[in-house]
Amino acid sequence: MDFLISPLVNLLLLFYSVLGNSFPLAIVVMTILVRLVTLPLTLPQQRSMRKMNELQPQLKELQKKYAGNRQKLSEEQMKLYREYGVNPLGGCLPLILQLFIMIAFYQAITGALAVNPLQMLGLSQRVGSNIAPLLPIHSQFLWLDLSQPDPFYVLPILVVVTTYLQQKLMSPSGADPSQASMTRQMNIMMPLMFGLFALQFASGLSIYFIVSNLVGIAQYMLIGRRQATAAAGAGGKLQLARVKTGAKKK
Amino acid sequence: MTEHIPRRWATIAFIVLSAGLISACGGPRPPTAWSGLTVSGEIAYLASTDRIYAIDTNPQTNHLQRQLWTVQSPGQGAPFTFHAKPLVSEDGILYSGSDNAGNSGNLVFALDTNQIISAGEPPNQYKTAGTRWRYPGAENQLSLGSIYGGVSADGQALYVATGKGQILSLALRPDGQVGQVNWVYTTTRPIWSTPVVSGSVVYVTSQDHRLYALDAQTGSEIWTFAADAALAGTPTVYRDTVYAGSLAQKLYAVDAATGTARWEFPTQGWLWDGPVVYGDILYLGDLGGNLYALGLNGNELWRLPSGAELTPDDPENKNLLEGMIRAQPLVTADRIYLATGAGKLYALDRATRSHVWTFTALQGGEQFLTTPALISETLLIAPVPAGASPTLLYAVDAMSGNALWSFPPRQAP
Repeated sequence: MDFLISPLVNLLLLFYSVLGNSFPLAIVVMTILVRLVTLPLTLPQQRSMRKMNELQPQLKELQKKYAGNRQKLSEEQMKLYREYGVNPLGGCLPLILQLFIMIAFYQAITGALAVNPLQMLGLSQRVGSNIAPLLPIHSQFLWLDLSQPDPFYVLPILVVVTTYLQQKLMSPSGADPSQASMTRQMNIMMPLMFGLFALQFASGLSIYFIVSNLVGIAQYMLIGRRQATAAAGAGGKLQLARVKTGAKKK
Repeated sequence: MTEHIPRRWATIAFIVLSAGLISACGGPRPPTAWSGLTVSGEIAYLASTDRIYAIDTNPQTNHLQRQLWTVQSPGQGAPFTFHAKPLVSEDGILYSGSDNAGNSGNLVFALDTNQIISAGEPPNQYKTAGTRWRYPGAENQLSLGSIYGGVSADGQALYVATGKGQILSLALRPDGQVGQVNWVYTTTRPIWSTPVVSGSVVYVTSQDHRLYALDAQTGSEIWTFAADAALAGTPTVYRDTVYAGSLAQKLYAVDAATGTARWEFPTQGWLWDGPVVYGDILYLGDLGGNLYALGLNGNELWRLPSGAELTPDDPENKNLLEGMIRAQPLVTADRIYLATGAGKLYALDRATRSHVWTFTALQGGEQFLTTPALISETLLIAPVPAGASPTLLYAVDAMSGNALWSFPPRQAP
């Protein structure tokens, strides 16, 4: 993890210095940068999720058609997913990636803030001598001490709300009742889990969560617009697919 | 639907496990600083983890009976840890301070080492020292930041600095009780160092990049000296000069009377404490792992760079200078004992800098960031606690570098 933490610490401090010694702003810019860097991994997943949402009518049709044959239904669903380049398990990788980055980010934030002597010694081993005049970092922002959890729970609430919004937006509406039930659980559990982290850990991490969620939402909406434009331009590929499915039925 | 129940539970289990995993990354509260070690007679007083210990260092003592007493959060069960180097007065009063994870609500306290009492219920009974006083008490509202540096005294008052940038003078009454707060001087950033009293002046460094000289009686500012970066460690006062190490990789020598700079010496790594002075030579190490010896006018006498081969004539047993040097070296007439962050304690010949021996911490991950203490022929070194059952103190033979005992004892002797 060290290979990731040291560059994150240095970048955070670089942004801190160029952004008028504002650590919250440095976290915001770093979060956007991290989202950009991980775009090649998250973008296909978001596209896939959006396609999966759009495939729900066909999935419902398949469910009706193969109501008594789960194996056949599963085969047909997979065929449909393959045809449209959808990976139903594609959500796992970004989730794992997000957890991995979150741990590194948390370590980077607490490492850069260096609010106790051991953390300052740790920082001395990660950064160059030119950083020293910036220290110690201003960890106070509004009512927050960025190295401590938010005492008024404002950020944890925002974390829960933005995680829920992002989760809700990206989850497939779920033609399959069991999938729909799982999605509902995820939509509740994920925001609560991140809310729990926000309650326990440094509020700087909550800023990362909130900005990351907002960027994710914006990214998803942008993909939607582009896909809609592309679909309109191509004469509605999905409608064509429905016609094809209908023709097969006959 | 029942066939999907395992999948549902698998999802919930995944989320709960992830939450647990991330929460576990926090783990038990890690140490925030190194241990504070003081020796008085044959007793070592150690502020480490959530306790203060009195340890009998007599070589003849049974290892299992070394602990004379221990104190945990005096006066109440608050989750404090202790790092501040204890100050023990001639009449056996121990002064120290607490760390509440960087938060407010800390204590300065005095323990009476002459008043040892039993605490706890059998079979977990243990000996503890009585609390003389603690500040703030119920009637005092001043909230203190974490105390990482030690307490200093001049017979009239105690001086202590806190992580909230406060420097306090607490009046000591003749009966040993603490009286009122004489004065409080507040700097703009945290202070992790020990105030140094010299004559009627208190010298203290702050992370606001300044060195302060304050009147010990009134707390009024005599002068301040602006450095290029934060001053995290305790300054050294020797004759008419104050020496302060800075994170800007500089040792500053400042006129103690006027606060004007005399000279500055550039180092290769960040500096923490000021130098130790022995025979008019300043010895200091930096966080880059380099050791220096300077004359009183700032001229470099010699340096041992990080990674230097200490035993160049012995290719079979290479000893390299490894790890950051946070703590002041311990210098005697013929030896320099140097503790490093790599868990190494080196003994060097003071005249030739040649290697005498190296003691390596017995558990992986242990760092030596506290200056060793010497009692007759025994060196005591306190590692930063590491692992589930950490060693808090090693006793090493000063002549050979062999481990004599450790505390708490690992096995029956």
